Amino acid sequence: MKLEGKGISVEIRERELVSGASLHLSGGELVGLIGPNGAGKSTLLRAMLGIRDTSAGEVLLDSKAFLSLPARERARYVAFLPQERRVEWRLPAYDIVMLGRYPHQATFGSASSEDRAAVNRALDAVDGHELRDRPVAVLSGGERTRILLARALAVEAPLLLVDEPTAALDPYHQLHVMEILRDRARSGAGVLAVMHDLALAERFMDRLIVMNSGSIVADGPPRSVLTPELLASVYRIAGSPPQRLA
Amino acid sequence: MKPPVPYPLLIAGLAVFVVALAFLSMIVGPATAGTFELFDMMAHEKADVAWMIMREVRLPRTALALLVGMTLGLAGAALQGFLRNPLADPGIVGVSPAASLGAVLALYTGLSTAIPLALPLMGILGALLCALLLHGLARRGGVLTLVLAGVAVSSLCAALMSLALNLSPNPYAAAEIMFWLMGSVTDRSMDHLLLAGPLMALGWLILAASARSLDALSLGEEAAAGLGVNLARTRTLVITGTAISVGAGTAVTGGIGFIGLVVPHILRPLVGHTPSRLLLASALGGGALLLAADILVRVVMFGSELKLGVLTALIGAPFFLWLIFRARTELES
Amino acid sequence: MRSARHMSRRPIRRLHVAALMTCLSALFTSAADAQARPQRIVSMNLCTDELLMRIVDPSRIASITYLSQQPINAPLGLDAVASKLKVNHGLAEEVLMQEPDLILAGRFTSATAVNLLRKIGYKIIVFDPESTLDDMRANIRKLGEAVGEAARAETIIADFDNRLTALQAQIPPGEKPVFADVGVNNFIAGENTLYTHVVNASGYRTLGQALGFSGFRNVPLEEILSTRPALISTATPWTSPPSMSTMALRHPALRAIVENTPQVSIPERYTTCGAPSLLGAVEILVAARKTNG
Repeated sequence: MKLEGKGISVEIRERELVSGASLHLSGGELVGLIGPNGAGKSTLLRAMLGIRDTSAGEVLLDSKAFLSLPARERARYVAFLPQERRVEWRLPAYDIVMLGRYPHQATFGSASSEDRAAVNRALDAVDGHELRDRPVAVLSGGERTRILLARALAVEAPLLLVDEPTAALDPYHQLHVMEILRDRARSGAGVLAVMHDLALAERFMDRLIVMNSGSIVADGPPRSVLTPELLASVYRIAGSPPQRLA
Repeated sequence: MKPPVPYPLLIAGLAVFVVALAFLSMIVGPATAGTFELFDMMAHEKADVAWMIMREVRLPRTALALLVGMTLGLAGAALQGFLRNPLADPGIVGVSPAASLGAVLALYTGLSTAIPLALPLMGILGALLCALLLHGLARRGGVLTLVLAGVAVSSLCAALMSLALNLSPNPYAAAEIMFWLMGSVTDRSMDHLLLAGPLMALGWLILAASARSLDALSLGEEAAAGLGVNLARTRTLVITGTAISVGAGTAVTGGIGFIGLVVPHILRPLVGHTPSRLLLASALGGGALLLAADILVRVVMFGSELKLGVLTALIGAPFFLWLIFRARTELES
Repeated sequence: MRSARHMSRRPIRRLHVAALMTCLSALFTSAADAQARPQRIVSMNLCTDELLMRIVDPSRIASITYLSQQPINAPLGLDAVASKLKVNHGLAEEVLMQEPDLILAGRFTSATAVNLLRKIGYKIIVFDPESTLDDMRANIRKLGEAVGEAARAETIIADFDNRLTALQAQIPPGEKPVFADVGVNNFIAGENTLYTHVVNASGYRTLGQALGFSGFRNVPLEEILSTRPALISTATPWTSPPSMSTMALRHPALRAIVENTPQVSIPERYTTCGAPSLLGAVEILVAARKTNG
């Protein structure tokens, strides 16, 4: 299965957040989407998912128009873990993971044995069985990320888009999360993750896509992408000290 | 957290409670008429009058207390789930004030004395207009826009109701408007039940269709959208369902506050915090609470009958305060 | 009481058939009777209470409102009658239990209960609030006809008019001075209100007339100060718990006027309804007019 974005642009009040971005994600690969803050990575992800309107371009799933599919069908093909880690109410972890089965269930349906099996597999994948009855609201950052990741895995979609999965985690948990994503890719799913940690990206990713100011500026294997020239022009690391970019 | 009671058991328990209260409501009369006077009448060859009172007075009253209570509990739970805010209630989106305004206008213009059902019909019209206005105002914005639009509609309706009181032609008409605003199910007829009942049921179905989306919304709007939740559709369902059911209820009973706020709160831990499971539980809980309150106003008499809306506010306001204090201590600890 | 009733059930059961027969025959005769003259009349409005008590024999009254038994509301000279009658609180259920053959109601009172009773099929006559003395006379006639006592109604009107004429004869000649009643809820009566008609009939103008408006209105203190009333009303029993009307009178700006102006106190029950109790107010005002000129 292959998800492809062609010439995607996103505008908000005359301002272009993403301009003419083209990228693709195939089953079995683990791809990193990197770039400085404000480069348009999250916006591009949302546009690919159909959560955000595009002003130009198209998204194709195996060469068919992806965005004209019903929302629930889209959700069955492409799972999404947004950056937001807040969970309302004091829902137990198990129920949160079960929400990953939403696209598979009817409006008035309840959980099937297949749904429960998928939730158990997802909890296996993140090693989260001991957390299943605890409210997500009281979990630590690492635990919460694992449970929310399990929620995205429970969709059992062929493709998975993840926004900053390692944000605000200590090194141990960062590695843990990256291993989960890599296992997922090795088992055949296509995984695209927005990343900030270049070292982690270089170590785990099969391919990196670099964005800067709304455009894709590089796409290829980590070693060929992360050149000193690119770091200097995109991240302003070599010449001048790091600055805060809005 | 795991619910302390299994869900089916909780629902069955609440249902039994509701049935018991409805039965009690059918046999308890107003204190001034003699609480159990009906039994004496049945024993003294006045059975026909007793049965007529059961059928024409207590049945519609009991049914309306039950249905309106259910509506308020259900709509409160749906709105709290949709807005992801435990302090939301049907009043916050302006539906009940709009229904009240419609009804007050029927009283003010004298339409209600000419046509008895003009009062609830105008109330329903007010609620529907409010829903249309909210759709227009909040179509592009998010949850905050919806809440602000609701607050604006509520304030406008409150101002127009005050204007009607202010300009009311005579003190009697003003008093009538004020009494109506206090909220009551006393002496409603089968006509009221037949008018409001089907509309409330329609509103429930619409709200129920939003149930699973509310669960997904626990993860935030983005994650929910990523799971295939259509946010615009969910908003339409919640607003329309609330407007139709609460509008129809308010149009018949007047303003009854705090049920929609308090009931979901009490029951949320018992259903394991799941928004969709809270809907049915809150509906039953709301029905039980309003039935109990309506029995209480009959038993406790202060000269004349206490208005139902006054009683629910008397119970609800301190609870609301306690809620705020508890939330504060949780935040500070 | 309750246990006594339980004990009496057995013999009644035994006489079941006989009792039922008696009841049925009684029902038919009373139904025919009621056609002409209702025998179990319920009044659900304070003002119809008074008219009803004046027009029919108490034995034909099934109930009046609980308000008429309160001392502050009891109509002039009817306290003794009212205290012996059954009462209702405007609830349909109470009224049904009293098995009325005629129900009297006000336009603005217990509207939901009245609608319900009408729907069930009870005969209900609704009375509009009176804004003139002629309205009052019309309502007395209407009620008299409804209960089959047209002649009695005419007598009451004639008595009222005779007494009113006698009182008016005592009013000193000259222009009508202003009587200021900073009323309950700050309502001041202007033209076209029953209150104003009563005050006029007693030889005064109301503050509202002096200020030149119609109906009831909230008047700011400034406007009240712009007039020089010849007589003011002070707290009535209704307002003796602190209320806006008495508070307004304590305002320093008013105090000077209050201290230098003659005062009267008119009980609320003399002015609430368009009914013969109005004479109570007329007596007080005419007496004041005689004393103060």
